[in-house]
Amino acid sequence: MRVLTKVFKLMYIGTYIARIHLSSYIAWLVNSVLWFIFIFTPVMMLSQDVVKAFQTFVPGILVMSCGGVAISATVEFLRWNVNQGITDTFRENGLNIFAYLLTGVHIDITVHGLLSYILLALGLSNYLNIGLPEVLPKNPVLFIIAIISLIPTYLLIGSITAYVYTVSRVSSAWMLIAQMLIAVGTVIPPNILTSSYVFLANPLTIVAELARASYGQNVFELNTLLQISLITLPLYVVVAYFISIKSDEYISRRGLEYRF
Amino acid sequence: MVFIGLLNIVLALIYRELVWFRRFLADYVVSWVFASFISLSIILIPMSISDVNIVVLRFSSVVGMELDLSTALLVSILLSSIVPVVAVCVNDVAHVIFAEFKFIDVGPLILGSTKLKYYLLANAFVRSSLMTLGITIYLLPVLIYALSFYGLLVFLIVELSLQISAIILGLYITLVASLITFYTNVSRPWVVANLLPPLILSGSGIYIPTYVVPLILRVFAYITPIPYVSRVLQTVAVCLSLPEILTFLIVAVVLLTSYLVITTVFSSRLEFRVRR
Repeated sequence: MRVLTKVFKLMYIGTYIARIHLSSYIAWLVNSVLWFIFIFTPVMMLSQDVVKAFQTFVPGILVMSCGGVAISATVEFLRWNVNQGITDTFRENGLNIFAYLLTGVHIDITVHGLLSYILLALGLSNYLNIGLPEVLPKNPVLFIIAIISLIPTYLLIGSITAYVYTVSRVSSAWMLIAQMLIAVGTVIPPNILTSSYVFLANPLTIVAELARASYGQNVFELNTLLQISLITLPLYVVVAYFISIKSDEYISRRGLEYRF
Repeated sequence: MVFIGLLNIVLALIYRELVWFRRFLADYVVSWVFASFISLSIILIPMSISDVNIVVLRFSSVVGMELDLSTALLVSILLSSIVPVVAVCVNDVAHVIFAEFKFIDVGPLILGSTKLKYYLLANAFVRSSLMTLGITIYLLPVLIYALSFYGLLVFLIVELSLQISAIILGLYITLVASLITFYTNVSRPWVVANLLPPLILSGSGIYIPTYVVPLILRVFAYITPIPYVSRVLQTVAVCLSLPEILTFLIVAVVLLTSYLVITTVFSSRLEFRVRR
């Protein structure tokens, strides 16, 4: 109960922080939708079956986008907020990167995931003349499961990023390459190799597959997918928590410099 | 006297750009990777669910020429170089103006050393030109590898076209950034600058036929040379299409002259306001 109260308190703080940055959220939303339209309209148009392309790639974009935001939020905490002293204030109150990720997870998944997905789907369906029945998921329950599954995956991706950023000397520019790499398994479906299970190295693949399954375009068999999700998703939260503690211990010993 | 003053600013800006190139080398490398990633993704991702020949055939119909897979990839690589050019020219030229006159407050130093008009014009020319060279240099080995000696010629044409486009974009964004910096009290001005590159790129229909693009987006694109330079880049890897190059050059001259005149007149009037 105490843990849940703490989580809700953090989310409450995150909601207020998001309200302060409302204009930035709106701008980022419009910006990301336009970028996705620019990159993915040709991807759909060059495909043999436009509807199949939409149902395969757009759920992947939703998941990739949330993974990308998890990386950005982490780098924000460890780079920009270090410069402004907010990272220290957070840590002085016994809160680490895991807590910071919890403050924004619901906003990021709603705004950068769901809202951006809705706007993108509307924009692309307009470009590609796809009807509403094809745009909407055939199995809404699976789609909701995918959205909920984004929470532990967001936390894991954020924690791994934090660990890599704190223990190594990589600059934040290299995090952009990580944001591109997570397209493998999300936007790029895991059917391009003979063994699809290799793609599970990317934690976001399972969620992308669940989202694709809601359209009937999944590569992994649905039962296998649900079984894997039941095991891995709770595991992601635990692993994310311990990785965050490790990065925090590292910061306590060595400090964290502001770097580009 | 005016020439020497302008030359000193240009030299100072070139020095600053070289220092920043060293400092932000990782960002340049990422921009090369990002452009290559986009170019390959647009052709290869559809192949994960479609027949290779159909993807190439559809891309050929967009370009208006019959292509094989390797040429289609090369055309895609060339086209993707427009993406970082637009993103960097628009964002970075604007951010310098926002930062120097709104946040870091080195504006008084600049005004003490030179005229605002010279600084804004030199910044638009030097920053966009040098950054374009930095972010498109990866095309040189790619083109020489793919097309040998003809690749060098293609690179020169591509680089020249992108340089002209970048300078026009630099002048265009200088106008927008000056308006925001000196006439409004927007607390997050970079929001506007960040929004312009995807608007221009989405409206230009670089990888898709322009008639598919909604009119509202096309308006943002056609006040820049990007739709025309993309036509040059679509064809240059296969043959030197003179009509496309001539159309681009005519549009570029008109846009360059217009933006140069407007920016010069506007920044001259701005001088008094800013100094006051």
